[in-house]
Amino acid sequence: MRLSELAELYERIEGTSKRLEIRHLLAEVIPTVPEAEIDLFLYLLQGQLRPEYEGIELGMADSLARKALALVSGGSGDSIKELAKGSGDLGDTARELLEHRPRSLDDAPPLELTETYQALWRMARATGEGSQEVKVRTFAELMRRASPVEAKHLVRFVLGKLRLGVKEMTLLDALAEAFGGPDFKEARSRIEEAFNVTSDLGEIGRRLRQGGLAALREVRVAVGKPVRPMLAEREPSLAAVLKRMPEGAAFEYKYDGLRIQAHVPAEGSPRLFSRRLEDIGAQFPELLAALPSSLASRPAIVEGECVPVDPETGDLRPFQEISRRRGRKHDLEKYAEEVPIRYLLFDLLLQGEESLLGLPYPERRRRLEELLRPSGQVGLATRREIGGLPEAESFFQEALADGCEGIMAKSMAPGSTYRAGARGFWWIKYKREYTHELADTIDVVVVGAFWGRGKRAGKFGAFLVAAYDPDTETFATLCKVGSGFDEESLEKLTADLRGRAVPDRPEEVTSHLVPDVWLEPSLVLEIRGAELSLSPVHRAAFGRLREGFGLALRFPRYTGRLREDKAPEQATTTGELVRLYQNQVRKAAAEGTGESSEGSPPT
Amino acid sequence: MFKARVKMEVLRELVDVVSTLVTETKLQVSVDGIEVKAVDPSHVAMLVLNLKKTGFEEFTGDSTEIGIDVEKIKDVLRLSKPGDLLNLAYDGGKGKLEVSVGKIVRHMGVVDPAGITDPKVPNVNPPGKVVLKTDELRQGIRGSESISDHVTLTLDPEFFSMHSEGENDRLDLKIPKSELTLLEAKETVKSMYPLDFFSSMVKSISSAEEVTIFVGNEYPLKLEFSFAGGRGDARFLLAPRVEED
Repeated sequence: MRLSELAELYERIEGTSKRLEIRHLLAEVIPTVPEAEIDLFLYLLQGQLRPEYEGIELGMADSLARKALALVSGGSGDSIKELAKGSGDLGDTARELLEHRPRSLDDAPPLELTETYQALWRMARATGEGSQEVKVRTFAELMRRASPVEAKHLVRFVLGKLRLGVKEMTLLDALAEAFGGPDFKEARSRIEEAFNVTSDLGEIGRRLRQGGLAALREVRVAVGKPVRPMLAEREPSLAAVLKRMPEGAAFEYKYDGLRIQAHVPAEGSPRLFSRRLEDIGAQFPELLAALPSSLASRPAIVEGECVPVDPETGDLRPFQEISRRRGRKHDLEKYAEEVPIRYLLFDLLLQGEESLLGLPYPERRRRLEELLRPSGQVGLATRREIGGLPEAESFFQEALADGCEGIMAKSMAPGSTYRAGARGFWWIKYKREYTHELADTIDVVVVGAFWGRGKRAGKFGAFLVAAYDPDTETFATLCKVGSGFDEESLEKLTADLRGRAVPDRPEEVTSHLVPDVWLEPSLVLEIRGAELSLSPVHRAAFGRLREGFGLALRFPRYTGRLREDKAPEQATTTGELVRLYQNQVRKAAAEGTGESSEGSPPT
Repeated sequence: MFKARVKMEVLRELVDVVSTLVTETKLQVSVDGIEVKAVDPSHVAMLVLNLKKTGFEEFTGDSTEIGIDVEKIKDVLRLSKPGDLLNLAYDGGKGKLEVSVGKIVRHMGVVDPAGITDPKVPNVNPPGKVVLKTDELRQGIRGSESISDHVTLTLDPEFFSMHSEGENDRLDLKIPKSELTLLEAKETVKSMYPLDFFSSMVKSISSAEEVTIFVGNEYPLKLEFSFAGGRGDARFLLAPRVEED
């Protein structure tokens, strides 16, 4: 298949914003794509080279793409930058440049889809010394042979700016229309079911192209391909939860952690996928090491919640402590030591070669219990079969007392199979709710600022704010606030505050966070938030409620009121915040959603 | 295998010519000498360059490909002075090209030749041919550079001319047949060429006193010259610029 056919499709899709029209356009072309290229075609349509969960990114910088364009168009990288500024899009600029490119000595053969894919793949794989050269050279060769329209889309592709709006769901629609026969709805739901099991649109497309809907039966749960997680519904009360499960219910602790699907192969290192199917194994080396020996047989796919624990007491710790690992590449060992984790399993999706998705929940749980060899690192989620409401209530209270955010109720019915990617009443979550927003506003002092991105580039986009501690005469951080500002107020604040920037953290400010710009404490803002919570990150009232924790305001937003009438020392004090927090805890306890005044770890 | 000893001036001219088009190139070694083929990334200009074994002071080689970073050779050349002899040695095994001059030895990492474009050199035979002094051509090009990005070459049965035109200025160089070493043109032919590649190529010629140029109508240019005392030759091809309407 020629690349031009894909480029033409990109063009036509770009010309419409109607999802139905896009679906028809795709459904027309997809059946004509050769079997050997259908998967590549589908990945490229989404602006990807591989299924999303593999996290392959091309990582081509604007400047490198410009360099490649300069090589083949006879312009300089800088002049191309100027041109692109005018059009606002390097893809459009590429198209224009190539329409006027110099004649070459030989005729460039038109690009084929597969060779284009392979070139892009080489670019994605190039790392380390000399990789930029490889990327530029490979891309220049593509540009040399590309038509102007192909160049436009290739440039956008490598920059990660294809923005065609061909989302997974639209592609599933199109596949159903193309291969699904007369009953679109039925076909669509079967295709989505299969997709939820492998998360790989390329594979789904290839099977459909090969053997139609019938071939989807071949789609299997496989180690390395994340299964879309089954999702839970909500109910407002435990009574309502039980009513939904007349055939019996089991409750599990709903941990305040990170849901992880672990793929443990027969040999070699496991892979860990987040709820969003990102491969996050690198963040949890200790788990990768512990998993294989924690299972009696492999391969297996298990699901569970990863929670931070106190190494001394074994108590659960706030989820934020895990999130500090996110995106971290260095010091992981240090973090693994300081914030140990436990992986608490609640489901088993694959055992050996056998998919367990079609088995009822009690059977999956039984098999999971048999398979697991509990260790310090890997255990089972606490669970109890629930006979009635009193039992439900007491289990819920136990969960809260143990630092969980609530419970997950699971149906014991024979039909309680694992429904990948689907939300239903087979699983119901019930949490301690915070329906009461903090009634009071809080006046905070701006001590730092973060530069905005995108539309807010060049302006401050968020601020690090603090409460005043009169005992120590310091300003202790409470939260980072970026909501509630309009563009105009950001502009004004940026202009006002710039002059108060200082190179280092001011003496009188205590903070764990380091903003882009430190500011002299001077300006007072009024903010509002959902609740105060214990935080290992923020420093307000640090150590006063619990050792090692300060107070943080969750979901803060600016009310629009600048308290120019207040001096920084007249801002809300840390003492006031402690009282606000204690009120909040008492209120929660009074409503029977139970949080002891000791304060169990926050959600 | 490749082992040779070469005059600094010869290697310098070879490297200067090649670097007008590429930063990395493949040295094709055979028992008879070496060949370099290069094409710029847009395939507007190409170069084929041969240096016979007799162009070296000493030479032994058999069929070998060596991927070379042109800048690195230039680095070594900067350490040498006119009249120096450089030793080159490559046995393929260690993946290093050994270049020495005087007491200095540089072990040079080579580039994987698989990553270097191997140009297919088109068969270009323009009808007109002129042989002229390199200095005169160089002067015409220097003049044109301040006027435009392009230059038009014309071969007439009676003369050779270069013409460039800017917004307000124009420049002409016209040499009658009597002052040219050779002129073969049955009728008038002319083409316009981008100046950048043309200019840097002509400037990189250091030893040839004369060059041969082939021109057709809206047709690629072929420029030939020799170096290393006639034991090396270079052929340079350049796509024409075709006027848009």
